[in-house]
Amino acid sequence: MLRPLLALSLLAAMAPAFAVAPPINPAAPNCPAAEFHQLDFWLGDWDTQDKDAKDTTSVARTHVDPIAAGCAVHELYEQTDGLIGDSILSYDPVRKQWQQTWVTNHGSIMQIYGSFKDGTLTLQGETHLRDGRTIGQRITWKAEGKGVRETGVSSKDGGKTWEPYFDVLFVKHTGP
Amino acid sequence: MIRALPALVLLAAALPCAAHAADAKPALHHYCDDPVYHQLDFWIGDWDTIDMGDHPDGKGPSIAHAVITPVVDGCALHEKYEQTDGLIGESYSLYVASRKIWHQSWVNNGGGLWLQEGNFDGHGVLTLTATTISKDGSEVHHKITWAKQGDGVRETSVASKDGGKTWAPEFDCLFVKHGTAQKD
Repeated sequence: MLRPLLALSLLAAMAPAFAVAPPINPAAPNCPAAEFHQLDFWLGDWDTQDKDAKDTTSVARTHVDPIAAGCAVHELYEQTDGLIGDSILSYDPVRKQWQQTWVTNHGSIMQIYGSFKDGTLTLQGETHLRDGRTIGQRITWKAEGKGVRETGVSSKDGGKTWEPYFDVLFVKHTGP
Repeated sequence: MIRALPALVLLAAALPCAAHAADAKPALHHYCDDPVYHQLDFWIGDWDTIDMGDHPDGKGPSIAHAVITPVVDGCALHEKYEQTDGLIGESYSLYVASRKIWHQSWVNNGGGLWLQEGNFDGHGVLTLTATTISKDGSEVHHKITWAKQGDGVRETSVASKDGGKTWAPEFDCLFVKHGTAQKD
């Protein structure tokens, strides 16, 4: 048996009543529901400005592309200091929520969950650092002018208190 | 403030005169050099995919092209899986040091998301489990294994909808070097 969609696997192994996603029709667009495309404003090739810095020098090149035929979003974040982050963001039509898995070349993983409200995506969860520490994380994305603002806060006490973590503005990449 | 490890954030906050991260020289990153991060490296490659359910001898046409590459300086593996019937999936697999587990996040073009966790046994076999929720709210448990098999990799999944009492085959495939599967 080949790797199926959940729906197909369940159809094959169990009752069709458990199907959760339509079968793949290669001729039709996948994931046409609007929810899957709420974050499309972030698709692009971006320079990244640190909102707390005095200048607008880019601190990272960020590529955000649709993957899985537009059903999910892939982010490649390459900071000028060498930090690389790779992430997948996707809308889960069953749980009706967004999810991000972010991994870095520092050996950390972050999984955060949440939803859109008034055009702002807010995801919250945890980062597991390579050294064993776990920190709370809440990140928002929203369109700002022609760019995208991403702001993160972190918590070291399980979400009781939050402090600024990062605050960046993505602007269309210019130059080579 | 840019996205940083907490340590860097603290440094930046405590030492306002410190060089801005953007000015810092990119450093080589060897955070994931330990072999524990590389137990699944046998899956790295450009693969054809044989459906072992239909072809238990491993000799059959390829039903998917799968490319597994290391990303983020070897801290994770990226999978791109393109099945001939139109299914496309992508995943990250990685060792999570703080929890001493393996994790995989898998998305596909049906809007599916699997978050899987598990570990290696003592024989080089990785088993991850995932729970998905059906539209009616019921849970389905999945158990997926990866094992080296000859020059290839065997990936097998079983699923349970009774809380793990009984398991039914879900998929069973063998990854073989791209171009070596039988032609249709």
